[in-house]
Amino acid sequence: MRRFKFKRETLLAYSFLSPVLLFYMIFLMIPVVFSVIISFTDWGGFDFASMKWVGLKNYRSIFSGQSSFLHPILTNTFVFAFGGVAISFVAALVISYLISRMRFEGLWRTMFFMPAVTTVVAIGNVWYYMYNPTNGLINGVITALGFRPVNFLDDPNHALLSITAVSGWMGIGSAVLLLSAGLKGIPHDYYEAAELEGAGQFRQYTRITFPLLKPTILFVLITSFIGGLQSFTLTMVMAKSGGPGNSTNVGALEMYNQAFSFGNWGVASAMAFVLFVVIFIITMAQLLIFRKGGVESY
Amino acid sequence: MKTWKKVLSGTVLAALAATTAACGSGDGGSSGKKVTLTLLSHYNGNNETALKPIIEKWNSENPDIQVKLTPVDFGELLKTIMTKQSAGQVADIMHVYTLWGGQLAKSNVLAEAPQSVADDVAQNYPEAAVKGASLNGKVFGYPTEVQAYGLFYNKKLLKEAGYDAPPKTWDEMLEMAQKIEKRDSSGKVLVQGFGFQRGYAGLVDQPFMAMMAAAGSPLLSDDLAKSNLDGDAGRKTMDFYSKVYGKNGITDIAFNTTKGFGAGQVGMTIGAGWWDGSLKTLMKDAYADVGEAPMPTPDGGAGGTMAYTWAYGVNSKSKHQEEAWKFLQWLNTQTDDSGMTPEGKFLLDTFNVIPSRKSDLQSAKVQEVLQSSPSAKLFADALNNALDEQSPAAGMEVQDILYKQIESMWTDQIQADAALKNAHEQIGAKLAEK
Amino acid sequence: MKSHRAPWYFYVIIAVGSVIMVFPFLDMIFSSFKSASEYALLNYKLLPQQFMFDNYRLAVEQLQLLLLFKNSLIRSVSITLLVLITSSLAGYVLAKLRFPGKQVVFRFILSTMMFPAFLFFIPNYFITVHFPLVGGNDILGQGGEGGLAASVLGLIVPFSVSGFGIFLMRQFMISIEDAYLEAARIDGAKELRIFVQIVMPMTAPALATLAIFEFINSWNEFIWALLMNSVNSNLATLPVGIQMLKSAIDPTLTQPLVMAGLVIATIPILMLFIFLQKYYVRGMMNAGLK
Repeated sequence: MRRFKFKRETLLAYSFLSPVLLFYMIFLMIPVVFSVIISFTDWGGFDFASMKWVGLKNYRSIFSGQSSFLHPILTNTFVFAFGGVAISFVAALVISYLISRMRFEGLWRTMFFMPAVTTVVAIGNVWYYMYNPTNGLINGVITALGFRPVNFLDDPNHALLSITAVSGWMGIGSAVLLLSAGLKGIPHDYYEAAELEGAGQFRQYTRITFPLLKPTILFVLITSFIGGLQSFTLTMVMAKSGGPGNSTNVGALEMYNQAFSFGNWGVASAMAFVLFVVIFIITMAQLLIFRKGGVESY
Repeated sequence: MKTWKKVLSGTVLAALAATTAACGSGDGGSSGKKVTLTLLSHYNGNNETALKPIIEKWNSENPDIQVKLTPVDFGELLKTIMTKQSAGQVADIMHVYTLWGGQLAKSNVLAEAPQSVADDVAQNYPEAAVKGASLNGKVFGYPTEVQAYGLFYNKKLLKEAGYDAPPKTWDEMLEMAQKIEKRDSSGKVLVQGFGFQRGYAGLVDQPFMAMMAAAGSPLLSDDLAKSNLDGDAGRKTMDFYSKVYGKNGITDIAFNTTKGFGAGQVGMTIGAGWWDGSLKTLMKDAYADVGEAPMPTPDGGAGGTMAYTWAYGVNSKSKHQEEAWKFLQWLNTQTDDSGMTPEGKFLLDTFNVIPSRKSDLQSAKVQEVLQSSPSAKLFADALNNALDEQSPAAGMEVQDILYKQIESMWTDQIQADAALKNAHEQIGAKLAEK
Repeated sequence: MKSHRAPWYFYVIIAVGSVIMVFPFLDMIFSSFKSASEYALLNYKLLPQQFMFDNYRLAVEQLQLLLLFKNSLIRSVSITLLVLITSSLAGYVLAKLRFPGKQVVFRFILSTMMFPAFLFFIPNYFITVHFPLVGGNDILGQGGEGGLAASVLGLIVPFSVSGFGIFLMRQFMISIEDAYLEAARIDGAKELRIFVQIVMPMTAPALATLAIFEFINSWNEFIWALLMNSVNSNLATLPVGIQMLKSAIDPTLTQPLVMAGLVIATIPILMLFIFLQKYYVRGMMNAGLK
């Protein structure tokens, strides 16, 4: 009887899971294997007959001195991811703490979350116009203050940071949301006790809030950094193929263009793997650091 | 168990319904005799509005062969052709930019033209156009827009700086530009003397090739195996480019030349013939200030320019090739009372561009335009000494390399000689690869 | 209790921050009324010289707005429903049933969230357009006319399962008391009935959160939709349709239309979010706490 029930439960479990497992089979397992194979071939995505095995050639060309993949593209990818996280995280840390002690917390939070529910196409285009050196909003303000206009997107020294700033701006809302949740988990009596002892706002923050918020902080950092390493929609909308030159080009965008603009599916797949390995190593390293830092749950 | 079955049968039914609906929309038209052809072109927005009546006319006269226009922005068109092809969702008729010819030929996208079409094209179009509409020496379709590059200038701004005529040499061009250029106290450009348009690879590279042609050399060797950038023409052109933007530049790269010219704030720039029609729409009365001239040359002597070609071709995987050619024959060769083809009319009305087909050229209306519109005549004449844009299999990548090197130079990441060397070497390597 | 703790400068900082957040949206709205010639001017002005409502008329005409809305809506609703179903089924199994291989499956689903999307981009594109037995493809996916991409399925199916959704639902369902389920089982209820009648209603808040999350994400998704649009132009969604309106050759002419299109695409979803944000925020914060 018991055994029968056990088998029935197993059957039930797997029948409930079947759509999910089937999905992962088709859209995850097969693709990974397929991708590995493509990365060793010269192929334009047409019939299989035209697929040519080229061994490590695609990987070699990525790592060759001529290739711009490692530098500047991969360097840009890191700057973009790291910069975006830094901006949104620092802003969110301040904002979430401030609004947690203010009236209308929900209203403020919604305000900061607005970009997160807006399509990147809108954000990219609007900022593109705002950055315009002759008649954009930002340079309008800069020149009104008596400074020289800045070529945000045309100057390779500024272009990457300009796009990164938008990415950071977009990410504030989600980070605020997660950090707010973390703040809610800190019991109120802690603050009251601290206040009784005469601790000011800043002291309360460094002594109570920050240490107790650490797991959430690490979670926000790791997820948004990984997200930043893979994202390329914003760059595509704001700088098309990553210009001027390659100064804003990022790894995933280069992969996309190699595959769909130039028909080099082999090179593109090899790039995807190189980038994947990089992300994987970083993720593992971060997890390791977290363990050492005493955070077990992530 | 009953609920289970309900859910299951419901899901299956829904899936089936979705599948059949998918099939239904997928090949609408294969039933019976009626055929629906898809036409992929980069004529979107206003151009689409202009092309539509022509196609509607065909559709009403030919109920069995319906043509459906699918406009795709230029920046996405090649990607669209390639992805559609690999997906089996092929477009029957494609309007292609001939730089893509090599890449399309490698993937066997375009069908060879029937003999009658090939003969017709060979007899009725100028040489640059026939070359543009051919791959490996074989005609693949009808050339349409054959656009040469020339100098666009603002008469009013030139006059204000004391010049009555456009420049003839490159040095004159730079000298005049510096006189025309005006900045405010903060250094912000108010009026640009000379600027290059920017935004995508072709927009930067094609004027480069036009200037190289004016200096006497195509970008690549005739067998498309090597880059000519290290030659005299390549060096001179890159040198000129380095003097426009960047730290040695006469003007500021942040100033948008395309917009600025339309607003009457740019003295001179290089552009293709079609731009004239666009400026006319945009500038209204101020269009009277727009002047056009042949490409200046390094020393003021005779020189050429570069012309690029668009052409209609038929997909090698189309199931209705015969019908597709029928439509293209009508569009490109059938003359009406005025002696013009539908395509010729479209080109003239939409872009103020002189169609390249002989019958169109001889029609009364085109002759009249040649008399009355100096710009149309100028760009039509320019075709006579224009080099065609070369289309190696790695055409897009070659363009991309040159574009990125020029942009890097303009934004002071590298010096002019490094840009030239990088572009020459990387293009050479790319050509050797394919 | 809360308010008296916040000094005045808190409000100043947040007010400045809010301006930075909201201003781009205002700029978008005002710009959408500017004329093409105004974009060519050399000075920035927030307000348009005159309000050109024509931009909206033209945008609606040139955008095939009905098609775009229809596609976006069908896509977002379908993905949301599919993800809700697959996530709650899998979440329930992983939270409440015991069976061999459970840990492996759970670990596997967690690890799927670590894979970057672009890794699957190329092969998934190939699989989607050669999907067997749909869009005229035979069992090997040959001879077809676009597989899933022949219909709106191409926009939906590759997004029908979400690792995050499964994780969220599992976390939520773990907190349901086993006693409820046991009681129902003793009464002789079948598992599916337990799932539909007992578990699902109890997870309504999590479902609401997930629904809003998925709806907004699929409404805004761009890259995949762009690719599907290249294969089959009937599949354009709002973001893709608007980006395509932006001409590469002659951007000045199309700029006002793009802005108007963006307002049309953005405002409904913003309103929807503001309206429903309570459910969303609550659910996300609960998920974040765990």
